[in-house]
Amino acid sequence: MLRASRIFSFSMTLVVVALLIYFGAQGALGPAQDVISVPLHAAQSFVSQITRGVTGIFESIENFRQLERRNRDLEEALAVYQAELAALREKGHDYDRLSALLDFNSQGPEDRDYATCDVIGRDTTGFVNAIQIDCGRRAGVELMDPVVTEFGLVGRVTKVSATGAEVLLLTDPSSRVSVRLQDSRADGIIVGQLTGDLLLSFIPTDAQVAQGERVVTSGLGQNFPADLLVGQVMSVALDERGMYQEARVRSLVDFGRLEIVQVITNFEPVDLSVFEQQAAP
Amino acid sequence: MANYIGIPILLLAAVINATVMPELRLGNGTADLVFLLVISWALLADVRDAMLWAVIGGMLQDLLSIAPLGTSALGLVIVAFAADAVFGTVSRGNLLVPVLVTIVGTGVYQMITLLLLRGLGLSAVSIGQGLVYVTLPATIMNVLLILPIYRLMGAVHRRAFPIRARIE
Repeated sequence: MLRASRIFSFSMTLVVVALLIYFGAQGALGPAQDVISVPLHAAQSFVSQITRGVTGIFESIENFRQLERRNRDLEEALAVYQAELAALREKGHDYDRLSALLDFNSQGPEDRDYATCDVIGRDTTGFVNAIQIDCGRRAGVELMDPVVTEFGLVGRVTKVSATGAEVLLLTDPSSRVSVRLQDSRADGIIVGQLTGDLLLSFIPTDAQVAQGERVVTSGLGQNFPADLLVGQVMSVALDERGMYQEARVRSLVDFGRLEIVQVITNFEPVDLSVFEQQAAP
Repeated sequence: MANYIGIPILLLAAVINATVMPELRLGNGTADLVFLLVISWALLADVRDAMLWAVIGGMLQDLLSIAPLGTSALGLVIVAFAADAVFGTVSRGNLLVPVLVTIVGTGVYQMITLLLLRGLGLSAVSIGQGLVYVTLPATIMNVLLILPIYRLMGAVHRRAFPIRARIE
């Protein structure tokens, strides 16, 4: 009798959970989730601040020597970049003049609106590389908004509530971003790896890709704005079939230690699914 | 009333899972406090209470993750029920049982979650990759933590449900 009662409870629980998953996946539970998420994100933010304080103490001791070395490297790099900057400024002025002549309407970095957010948690499943941030719809964050740091692209918003949002990181295996190699001008697609690496695929075989070459978003597909820094090429090789080249790319963003990120709130991705539906017979 | 003691405990565990545990990662795997609490309760208390804990804990986990509501709860409910069905009659003092349930349960729970995430198009991780990079390290981390948590929950259970004896 007791056993039958347990099996009945188990079956009923499974039905309830299956309904939850179904309606959750349809987005029908969004308003209820929003209500629960507000205090939950507040608690998460509070605990996250304490955690960050404690880990920060350990990290600062550990990182002191690394920082000294990095500072030296950056000073050397700065000297090189200052010379480059002067040359690029000249080109920038030329570009402004020429684009004004053509009435070219593009959105540059200075036109972007940002919401600066604290990272308050990480995805708990382990199978998805994602972070939670403390900015939601109230801060102007919307689904699919690109997320960046000063070191480059971080990912895009995949779930948003009133006070928080979930960001799918560039390193997630389901993340795909259209990119361009800055010097060789070849296009490709960056795919995340579970190990945290980035793999740049579909580079044409005739492209001369150099180690250290910068990779930026191409803007193709309109999922991300163009010219956001993604990383640098570490190594290049032919893919398994020999039809394209593949490159291992290292992002300058430390995805394991993200603390503050910026969401570009005024970028509107184009919904290309409309064209796919029209093309279907 | 004693059954509701789980809500604040699970809430705290879910928040710690999303904030503190990622700092203590082994590979891509972390210890899952909600999972450990649910299986401990399944071995210590009535399985129906444990299933309630599994649903609440799973929903809290999902609110703090990319997964739709109920994804984690499904795996937790199945593991809690199976743990009780297989080991429900074994003495609570046998410490091998929680360790064994943790090892098998972590694999089952994580594979259910991964299959659901893949089915819903939310994860592109293959089963093999998931096992090597996430489940294996998570199992090691869970095994390290299960005994202190099991003992702690044993104390909570004794407080919440004291054994009553009639003196005649």
